[in-house]
Amino acid sequence: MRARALPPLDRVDREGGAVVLVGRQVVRLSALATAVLDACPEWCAVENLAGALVTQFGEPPSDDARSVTEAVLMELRDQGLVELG
Amino acid sequence: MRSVDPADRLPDGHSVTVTVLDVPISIRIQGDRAAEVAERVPVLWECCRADQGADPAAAVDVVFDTDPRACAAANGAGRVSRMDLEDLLQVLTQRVTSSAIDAQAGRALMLHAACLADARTGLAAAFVAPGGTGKTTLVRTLAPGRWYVTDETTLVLDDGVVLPYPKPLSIRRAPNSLHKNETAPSAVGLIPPGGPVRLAALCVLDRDDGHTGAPRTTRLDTLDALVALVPQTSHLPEMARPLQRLAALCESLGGVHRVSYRESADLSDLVDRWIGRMR
Repeated sequence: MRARALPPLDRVDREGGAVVLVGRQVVRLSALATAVLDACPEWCAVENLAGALVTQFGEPPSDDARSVTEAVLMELRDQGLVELG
Repeated sequence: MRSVDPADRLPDGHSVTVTVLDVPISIRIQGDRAAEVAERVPVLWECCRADQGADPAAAVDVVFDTDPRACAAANGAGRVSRMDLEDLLQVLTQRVTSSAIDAQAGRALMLHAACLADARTGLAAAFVAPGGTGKTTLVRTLAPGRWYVTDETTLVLDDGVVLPYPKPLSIRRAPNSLHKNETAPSAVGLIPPGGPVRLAALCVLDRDDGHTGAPRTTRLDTLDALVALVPQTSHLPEMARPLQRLAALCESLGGVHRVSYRESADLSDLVDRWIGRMR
């Protein structure tokens, strides 16, 4: 799996988190989701994204980094913020 | 913004022009009972009278007629028409409001919010809430002795200046009724702004019949404020940098308040604190 961020209409960042406007919907992003978005401005393999998250946040307390990254990507896709390929 | 061609005016009818959110809007009235509407509109819209010779930028067409077929045809054509005068005036207020909001799309931040201001300083507090959750009641309770800015739409420019919209108040005919009577502001003791109005406090209302005790206030951080406010905006995506402008406004005010409360009167002390105590 690979992912690429889709540009929202607007975005505000504060203290690691962000809020984005997608169409008429406002979405609050966690620090983790914000980091995923910022790590894939261009197409990026999920393994590389998982590695970037581990570097920034450390290993997840449960589950593996790839599974966590995939879950975040699915949510971001449903919110219209990334495309997956 | 669409300009109204004078040649487009309806024949043999009445016309009243009001200014709403800085937009002159022509209310054009037809039908064999048009005079009844034309008599009420200037009274209800007493605080929104247009300057003499104002050139309407939009128009709302109204038909009031004893013939139900005329009413049905008018509604089918997108005009405002009802068989009952009070029903018609209620829908007219909604249509005038939406016309003004549409005309201002992309130009300024518009919040679904009541607003009142201190009459000495022009400092204003806006109370954001969905329709039917207490904005008009709050204004009726707390605006006497202050300036009535609006009970519906608060338009804020980037420098914090508020364009007043002291519309007729839509007051429920009975508790929980969807039907409302349009009421002139002066009839309930309200006066429109007499000078510039500047936003000093922004508050998200959370009215709860089960709330007990004094109002509970929390201060929202910028991201939480955006999440709370965006659904209560009009035409936000049509602005440039909409979230950043909204965030800048929130932070210029020192943050956004969320207030849980039951009765509007209980908010009196908060309003005193935010914009000054009435004399």
